[in-house]
Amino acid sequence: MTTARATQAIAAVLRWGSYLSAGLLLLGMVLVLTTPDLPLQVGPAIPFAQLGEQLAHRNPYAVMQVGILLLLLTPVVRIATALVSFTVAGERRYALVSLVVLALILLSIWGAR
Amino acid sequence: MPVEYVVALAVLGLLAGCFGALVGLGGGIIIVPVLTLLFDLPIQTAVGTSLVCVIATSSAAAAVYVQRELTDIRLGMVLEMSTVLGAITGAVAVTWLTQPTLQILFSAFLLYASFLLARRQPAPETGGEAIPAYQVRNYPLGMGVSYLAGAVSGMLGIGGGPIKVPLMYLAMGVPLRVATATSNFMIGVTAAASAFLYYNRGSVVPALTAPLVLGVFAGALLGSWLTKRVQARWVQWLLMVVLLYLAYQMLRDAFGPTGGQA
Repeated sequence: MTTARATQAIAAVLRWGSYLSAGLLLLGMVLVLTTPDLPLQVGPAIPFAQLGEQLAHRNPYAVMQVGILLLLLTPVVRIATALVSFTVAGERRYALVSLVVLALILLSIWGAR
Repeated sequence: MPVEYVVALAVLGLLAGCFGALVGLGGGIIIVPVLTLLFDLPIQTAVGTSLVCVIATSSAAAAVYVQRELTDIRLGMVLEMSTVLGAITGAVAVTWLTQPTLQILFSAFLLYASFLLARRQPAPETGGEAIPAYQVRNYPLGMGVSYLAGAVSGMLGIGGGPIKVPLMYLAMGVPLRVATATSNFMIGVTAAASAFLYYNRGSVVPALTAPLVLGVFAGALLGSWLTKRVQARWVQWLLMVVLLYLAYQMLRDAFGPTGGQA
């Protein structure tokens, strides 16, 4: 097992990522259900570039979407946490493994822009 | 947004999350067929949406498993190199497949999962029992099969536990409880790798995903509360019947006159 601190850090990332995204999704859900005359948006997600603007316009679907993105990013942050932990602990082999996984997932995000 | 639609999705998430927590199986494997059959979604949208739910289940459960030191983080991360690569391959390859082909592949996986359930002996969950020392072996096989598990996950929107758990337990010498926790740990990263690609293609619909994910979170809580209160054998049989029925419906749809365009 990793050092206790690394284990705690990884568990905390997973736990708080879940809490935060669930909170945002719930908030988005409440806003969607309580906003009168809101059109049903069953279309695809708002593009990244327009997300900030839509949030500023208090679009409830944008709030939901930030919750979803946070959920998708939780495992990515978890890998970054492992990378830092293994590096600090001097476990070069596993730091390299974490780096490869992180690079692959960043490649996927880059491909998804 | 129609309230009954939101409630139906939340209930679907609740059931999926509950089965997931009780049997360790039943998130994406229930969500994808129900979204296509009952909600008439194109299968790729169902897969993209399901992947987000799969990440939710994995993160919430993995937080607990990691904390209890049941997860082999090192083994998990080594195998993740393969599953993530597989997931990207699967999410790209899926665009070349037709809806009926995907439905047939999905049905095959449903049948395989029901077969595993029929054979499974419910493990006595003796939480306090110490984990025996073990030496991981067969890394090359593990990497190969993990790639396959990742591809299946990226193509079908499921976690792929029914591939990874037997792999680690039977072929790599990992104790069952560690294999289960480690498989769950890997699922989040694997699903995220393909979920970003689906997201960009517009195959994740926030309005559908939010109630589903919230249902999944609630279902996972309910499931872990129910664990000590219901017979595991009974839940497994119930899930098996559900999976067989979904496989039948998906095959009927794939070979039906509409050719999967239900």
